[in-house]
Amino acid sequence: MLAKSELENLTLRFKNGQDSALSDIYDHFSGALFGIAKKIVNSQEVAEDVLQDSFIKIWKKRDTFDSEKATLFTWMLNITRNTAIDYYRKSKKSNLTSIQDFENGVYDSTGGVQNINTIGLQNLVSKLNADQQVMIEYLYFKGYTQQEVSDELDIPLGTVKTRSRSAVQELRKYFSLLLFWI
Amino acid sequence: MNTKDYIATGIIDSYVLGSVNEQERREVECLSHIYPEILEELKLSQQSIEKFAFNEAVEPPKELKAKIFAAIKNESSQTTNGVAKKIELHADKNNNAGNGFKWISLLAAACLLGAVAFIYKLNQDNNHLEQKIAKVEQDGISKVDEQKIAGDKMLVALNETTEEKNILLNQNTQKIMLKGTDKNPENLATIFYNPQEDKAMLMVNNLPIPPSDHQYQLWAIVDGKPLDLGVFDMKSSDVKAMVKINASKVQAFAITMETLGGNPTPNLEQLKVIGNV
Repeated sequence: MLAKSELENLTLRFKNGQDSALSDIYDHFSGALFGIAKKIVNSQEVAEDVLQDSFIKIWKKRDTFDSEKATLFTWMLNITRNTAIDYYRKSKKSNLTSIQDFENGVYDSTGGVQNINTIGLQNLVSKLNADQQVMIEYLYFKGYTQQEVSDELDIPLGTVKTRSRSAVQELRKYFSLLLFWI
Repeated sequence: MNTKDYIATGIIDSYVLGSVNEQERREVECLSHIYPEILEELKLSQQSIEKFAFNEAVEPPKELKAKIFAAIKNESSQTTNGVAKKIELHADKNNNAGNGFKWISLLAAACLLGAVAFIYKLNQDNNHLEQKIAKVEQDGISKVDEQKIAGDKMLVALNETTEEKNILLNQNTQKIMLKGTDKNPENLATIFYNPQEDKAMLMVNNLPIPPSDHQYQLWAIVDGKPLDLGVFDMKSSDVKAMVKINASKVQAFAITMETLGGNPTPNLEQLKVIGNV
């Protein structure tokens, strides 16, 4: 993690359009951004494309970054997540129209809803319960709205809301504990 | 106002997970300006998502950095050198901007249409009043006093409409739509805000008549804090009111339902409409 002053300095250099700032940003954040992208698109190669697209956007859109609204990292995370979800949706669409759809469908039905675990939040498996993981998977990594999760998993909207809240709260608890240990 | 209850609804958690809609997003961003507790909650949750992302980090292949930076360099040089590419890039930009632009011009057209219709109506009202005054003047002297009172009333009304007309026609006036919250998406009010003169005109488009022991209260959000602009009644469904704002740089306007006479701080649960400047 960067110290606060280092991060502020980096953000400033980035806003001013200094190439070296982007290079530092890449060195520091690309792992986290790549990890998120990879979990969303579930493919190493596609995730590489996503990371490239995201960095191009990050550089082009640097004027629109507003440090009052979000931290630099949250902002970049949002760009990467949105780019990855776009890729994921496009690939899903082409899968749906492909002739092999039926085959895929049969294959999928064996795993059913439970196969979400294939995305694998290995690092967190023991921290969040299954319901909370499902919420993070669908809302954060698949970009579903709460209503869509409710429809897809056939659980009441209220339950989706409670579970997603408890998931974020659990993350908060876990990471504040983690901070103590470090 | 109970920020605890608001936080407990889980909307901030949904916000940081990126699963809120446009209206909810604006609501969270606006309210986090107003209430430090909400901002604190938002920051903590956002931090946990950041740490979560770091925790799930996967290092990209070593050679990818050079590839990505070459692509970025290529993109930037296209904007300054290659002519053909430049057009393509422009087209791309235009496309992106085009959508927003179309939207904005549609919106602007709609607003303009609304304003024109409104001004037309004001003009008609004016004409009507002027005719009435003329008629009063024509009608003999026997009822002079009565007529004078009526005439004065009309002049006051005329002044009010003139004031409304002035704010609507002023080029510094911004039109701000105050939209309903998730609970009442059909609620709608409009503010015509002139930051130069610190004046605003409120028009209620759609708000239910409140219970008899409650009133609506209008707020301006200034420096992240709510500023009371007064309460108003809903005797008829089309409320119009001019307000003077003792502050500049208003960030947002909002209407809450409060107990009779209003309250010093807004009741968050009874937030009816909100709109950013």
